[in-house]
Amino acid sequence: MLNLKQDHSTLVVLSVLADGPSYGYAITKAIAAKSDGHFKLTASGMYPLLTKLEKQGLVTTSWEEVKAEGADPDASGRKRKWYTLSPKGRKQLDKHIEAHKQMQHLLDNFLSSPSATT
Amino acid sequence: MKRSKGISPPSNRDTIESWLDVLVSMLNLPPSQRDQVRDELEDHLRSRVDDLLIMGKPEPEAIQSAIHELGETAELAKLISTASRTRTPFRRFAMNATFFVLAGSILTASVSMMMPASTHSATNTTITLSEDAVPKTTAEADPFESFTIDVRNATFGELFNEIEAHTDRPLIIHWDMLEEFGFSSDTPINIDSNPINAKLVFAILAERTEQVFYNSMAAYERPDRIEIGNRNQFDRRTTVKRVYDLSDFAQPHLHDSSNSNQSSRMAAHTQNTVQRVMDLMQRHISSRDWTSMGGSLATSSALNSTLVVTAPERMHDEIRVLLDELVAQHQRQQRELQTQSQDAIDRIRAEYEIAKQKYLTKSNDYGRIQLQGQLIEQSIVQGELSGPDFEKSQAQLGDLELMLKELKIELQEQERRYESLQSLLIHAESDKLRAGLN
Repeated sequence: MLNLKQDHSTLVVLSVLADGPSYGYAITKAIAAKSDGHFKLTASGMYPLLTKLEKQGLVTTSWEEVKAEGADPDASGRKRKWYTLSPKGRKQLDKHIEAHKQMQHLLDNFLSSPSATT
Repeated sequence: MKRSKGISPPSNRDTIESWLDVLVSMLNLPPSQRDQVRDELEDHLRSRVDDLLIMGKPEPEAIQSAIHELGETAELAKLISTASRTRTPFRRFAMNATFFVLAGSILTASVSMMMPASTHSATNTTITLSEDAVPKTTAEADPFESFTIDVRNATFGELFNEIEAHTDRPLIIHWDMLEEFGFSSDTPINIDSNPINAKLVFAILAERTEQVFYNSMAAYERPDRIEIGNRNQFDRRTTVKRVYDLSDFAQPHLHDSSNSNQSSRMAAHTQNTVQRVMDLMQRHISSRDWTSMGGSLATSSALNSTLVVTAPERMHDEIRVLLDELVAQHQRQQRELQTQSQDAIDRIRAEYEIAKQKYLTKSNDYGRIQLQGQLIEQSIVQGELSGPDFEKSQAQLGDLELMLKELKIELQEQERRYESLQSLLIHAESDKLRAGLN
């Protein structure tokens, strides 16, 4: 299990949200599922990050009231905060992906040279 | 992602609510924001508890686990409070001249009065190896977009007053550093535009100064203040010597370093790798600032697998990121090599087992036929056979001898294959052991 570094967390969270709106707990599960359990974004990493992304306008938020099945329809449920990737967030994600590709390409060139592996 | 249904009713409210009460009491936030944090974390906890219950954990244990997984309460409260309060982290935007030039060049199309982008700025935009390996055009600087400034007819003094009003720390303006660019408090900033955000204003000014002075207006962010001055001064102030240990990936896995030939190969490899890292660093991190590239700010030298760099902190930050990436890449390659090596050994072992079985089968066949021939031969010698039986046995003996010859050839072939695979397997296993891949 690898704890995600903050610089990668943004990329990972934005890419999870690129699949559709989600909420905190579901995001942690999606990250674990997408990485076959190799990545873990802790609550102390994720919630501050989500706040930062919201402040930067990269995600928009909305609240939903969730009720248990069979619960009293008049009783109030608990609140769930949903995060949606904004157009600005989409652009940011694209930039992250492009930069990641550039870096990967650069490192591949560097490390795949014969003298680097002999 | 679909919204989940079927959430179980809240239970054992006391434990979760007590924990939330403690956390919320530690949040340094207005009441409305505290409520939101509480609601969000409550949803997290209860969702997690639901999952753990489904997995068969008893409820009290599930609640304890869910709370435990959220981490240390005070730390979580502190991080959430900080993230919620942070307004304008100038951060690397401020110190990163590359960003200024890059963002400035992006602006040329939209701000009519800007000068055309210089060829120098183009060299800096090839790739920015930064904290998150992403050119810092938006993420770090986004907080600036949260407020706009009406800069038409404004002076530098008015600009900084406006910025200070929107930031959470005092602004210290080094007019002496800005004098280099001819900027004083009452100098018009001369940007003829409708209100634009602070990020763009800074980018424009940085671009202008960069092109003319080979230096740029810059902000230097500290936890207790933000200083405005010029990049070269801030760079000199933060220049430090740091030692980087590259042994994690600069040293190859050679089988026997006691062998002098291999030792020298190892040393050559290390030297070569360290040189490549230096080249990469100097080409992609603030390239014009290295003394080896004609600059005056940063120097680097290597001793074995140690790299010594004297440079401003902003460059050290980028060097650390680059090295982290290289180490991660190296580790990925090592893991792949390990897998490939194991796959090869497994394949050889499988072939070896097959060859061994074939050899043993042929060997048995050979023994059986040899025995059969000996029995027939014995009967002939003892004169037990006569007439047609004798002739038939002679013919059988001839056939068996032929079969034995053929079998002998096949047996020898199988034996060779078996032995060669055995030898290959022993070598592969010992290589693996020596390379420390076990």
